[in-house]
Amino acid sequence: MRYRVLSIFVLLTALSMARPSYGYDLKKQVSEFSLPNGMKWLVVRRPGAPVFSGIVMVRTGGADEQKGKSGIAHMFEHMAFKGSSRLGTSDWSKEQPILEKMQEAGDELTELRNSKDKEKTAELTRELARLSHEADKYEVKNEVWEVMMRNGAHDLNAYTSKDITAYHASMPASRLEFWARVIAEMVFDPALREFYTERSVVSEERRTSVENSPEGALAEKLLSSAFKDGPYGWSTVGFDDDVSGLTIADARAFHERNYVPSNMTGVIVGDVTLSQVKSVMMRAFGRFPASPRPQGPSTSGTPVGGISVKMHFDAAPAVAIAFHKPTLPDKAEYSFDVMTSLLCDGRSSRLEKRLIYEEHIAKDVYCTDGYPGSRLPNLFMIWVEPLKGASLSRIVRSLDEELGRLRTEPVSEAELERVRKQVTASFMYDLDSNADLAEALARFETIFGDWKLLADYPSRIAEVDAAEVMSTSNKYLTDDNRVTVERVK
Amino acid sequence: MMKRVSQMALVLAVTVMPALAGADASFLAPYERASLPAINPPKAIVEVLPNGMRCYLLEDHTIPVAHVRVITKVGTIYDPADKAGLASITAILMRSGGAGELGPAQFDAALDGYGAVLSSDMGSEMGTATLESLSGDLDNTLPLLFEMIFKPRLDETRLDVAKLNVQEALRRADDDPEELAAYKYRQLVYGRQSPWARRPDGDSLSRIKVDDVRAFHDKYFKAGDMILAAAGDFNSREIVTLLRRLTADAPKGEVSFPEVPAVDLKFRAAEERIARPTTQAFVRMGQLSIKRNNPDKFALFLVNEILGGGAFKSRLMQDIRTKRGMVYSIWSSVSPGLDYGLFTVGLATKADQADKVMELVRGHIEKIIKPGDIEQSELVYAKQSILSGLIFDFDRAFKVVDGRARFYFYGYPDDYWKIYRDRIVSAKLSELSRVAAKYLHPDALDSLVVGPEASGGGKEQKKDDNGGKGKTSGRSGR
Repeated sequence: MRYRVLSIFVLLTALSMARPSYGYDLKKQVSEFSLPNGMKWLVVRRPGAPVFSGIVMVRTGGADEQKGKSGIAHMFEHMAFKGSSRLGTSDWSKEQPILEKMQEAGDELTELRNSKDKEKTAELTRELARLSHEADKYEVKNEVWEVMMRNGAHDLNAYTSKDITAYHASMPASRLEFWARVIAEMVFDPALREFYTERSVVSEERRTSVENSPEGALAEKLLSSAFKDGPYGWSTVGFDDDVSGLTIADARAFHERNYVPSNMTGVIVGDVTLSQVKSVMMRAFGRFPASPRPQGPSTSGTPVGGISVKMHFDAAPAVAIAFHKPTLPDKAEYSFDVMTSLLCDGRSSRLEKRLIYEEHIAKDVYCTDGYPGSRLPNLFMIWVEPLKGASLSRIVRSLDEELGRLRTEPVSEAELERVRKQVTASFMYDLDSNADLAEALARFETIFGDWKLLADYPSRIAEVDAAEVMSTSNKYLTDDNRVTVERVK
Repeated sequence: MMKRVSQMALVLAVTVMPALAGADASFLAPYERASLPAINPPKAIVEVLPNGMRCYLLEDHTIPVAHVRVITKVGTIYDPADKAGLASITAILMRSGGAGELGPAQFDAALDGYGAVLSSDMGSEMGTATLESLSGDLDNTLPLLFEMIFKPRLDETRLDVAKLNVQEALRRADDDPEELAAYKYRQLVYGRQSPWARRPDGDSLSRIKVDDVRAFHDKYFKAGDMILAAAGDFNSREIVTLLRRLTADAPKGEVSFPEVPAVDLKFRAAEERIARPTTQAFVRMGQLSIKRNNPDKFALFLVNEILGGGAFKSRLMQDIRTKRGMVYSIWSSVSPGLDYGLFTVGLATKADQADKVMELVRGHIEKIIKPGDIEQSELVYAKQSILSGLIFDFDRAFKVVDGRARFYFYGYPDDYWKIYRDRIVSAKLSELSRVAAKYLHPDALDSLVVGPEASGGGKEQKKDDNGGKGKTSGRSGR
């Protein structure tokens, strides 16, 4: 009796928010401008605390890599922190010629890494070590970090995904131009020093995040199974052999092609004014020449479906099920977002409720779409970690039933309202942090070409109805569109 | 006060350090001249409810959301010895087992219906309940928070689920070499039975019945022991009225806390290796460190910042990652506690170079404790990094009130952040030298390595181990 009353109550409350008016109009908060060289900037003024969050997002990532050279986008992100001709050196005029010689020796050594000419490789190794020692005299290690940290940088970092590479930091408000000048050095004038040592660092990173990680290993297997001959088919950190084979010439070519102003978005959120940001960014970024935006890759890889793969890893089991899907501007994108929330968002979501709280067969279940990226056709994925004693086939049976429901039963209006409310709420929660808002704006502008899609996002979700969910499910949640990977001991 | 503030300004004004900065970085100098903003956190409203619950409130109408947290003095250190896991299970079941008139599934559905996020967490000495809600729904979601805290139903089926989940989490922790290294290291330093390192297992969990959870809940969750922090789009007066109403019949009364066995301050130089077929060795090296109320902690934080806490310019990072390329992640931390905390170095490195890296780490600690080893420029840079970023402790309304709540919980004065700031500003090289030598003992480090059996060779009695974690800085807490 009580339950019935409650569910009506929830329904009524939710229905009254049918067209969410969340009392905050993001569109009104955002100002935009472009520099003459094509670099776009967005600004949100928030005068509360005397700080700002800034991000520069480049529309390049793992998706722009070629087979055999995986990992170059991420490697480049590491390199950006090594500084420029002005930052990270005590005398560029002396350091530069040494770096050029290092590039000759190092890149040749790299080409020869699988050769049998031991004498030649030994000679080059010695030469490289000698030059490195020389270069050391003029290098100021980690100067980018040093100058940023002593000026109050908070959450200074960068990340690379399939779609984008982003450089971000929050700083006290009086350091806006400082931030801009440093980021500009990093993205427009990288010196590519310490390249070969950094390759080893990236190899260590791969060991931690992929080779010795049960999650990383499963993710890599899923991608390589789902996409053949395309950039979505490998981990962003890259295959070990590819990373060992990356040269400075590769990094330079990648940079020249992709790190152009028209391929970047900058966002500032915080205690700043529009006119201040305009003049600062013009001074800091305006001098870099315009260049045509590079063509994006045409394919994420040949989609493979209708397969089930088993892999072995010394860890408790897990299973990932994925379906190929399109990306924006295809409207299915919003249906998939609704399905993701419906299945996995909150403890009353269909999969959490069933697998964890009713059937007691799972410890965790995750759903995501836009995996591993959103610029190109990608995957809708469900990932489950079973409880001991529950077989993976048991898990898959329950999942199949739930996926079948999506194809055959219209989603109830109550459930759709729950989804809409959750999407609205988490949209709001994300706006609270300057850094999160800056990142979200940058992401929508860079990947989808329009930051306003972010502001419209809750409304677009609200427009998805039961018929759309059903037709999207029937179109894409099919056996021949599906990849299953089971990880067992 | 004025003197201290101007001392800080002096520290922060020394921006271009010839010893550290490249001559060519001088192009940045004009952009570092403006003074850094003064820290002036907004004032929270403090209200003590009739039941003793202390509330810190701060309005912020930027976004229509509210963020509320209730801190309770309760933790895993109070687990009965034969029922390790009881505190954690209690926190889980409070959230998961329904509350007030609502059964578990209804409670979950109610929260999801508002898009509200409610969590219940248990630390070693502090339990937290946290609510994020759209401000327009606070009248409906705040009651759910308090029903969870004061009227949890502790449904028995959900207890079974909780136990299964916890056991699964324990099992899977052993699959993750970083998690494994982390908890095994704690157990190595504190001892497996220590309340600061103890973990539940199948046996201890099987002994936990609903009555135990009920008793634990009723014993510790009393209003007078609670501190609330709330920030967001609400009216303070209205919120106080609501809080009074919602906690009107909350249980009051004193909580009597069991005695927690004191940590024995011993340095054993124990070593443990855990064999896993990994390509990297995951290392923890460290030992017991200071208590929270130790006045030397500020100087020790600075020593740690220089050694391995301070992101890329720390000695460990510069040498072992940047110069040698031998790690992706390496860090050090000092975490003072209610009892003796930990000094820890963490890293992960290719298995066959684990020994070498551990030797390098030991060398760095041996060096930093030598009198006069730390340079003035290092100290200045460490201070600048910490102080210039302090403003970010207050950049959001919720951080302001959450910080106040935690200061109160730890028994610090209201303006503790000023004490912290002043002690960092005034720390001298001689102090750092003294505390480094007093509290860091490189000859008595415990070490825990998760890695392939043959990594690093190892000496006769000692097995060399390396374990690590994917962090790049271990800046010390407060």
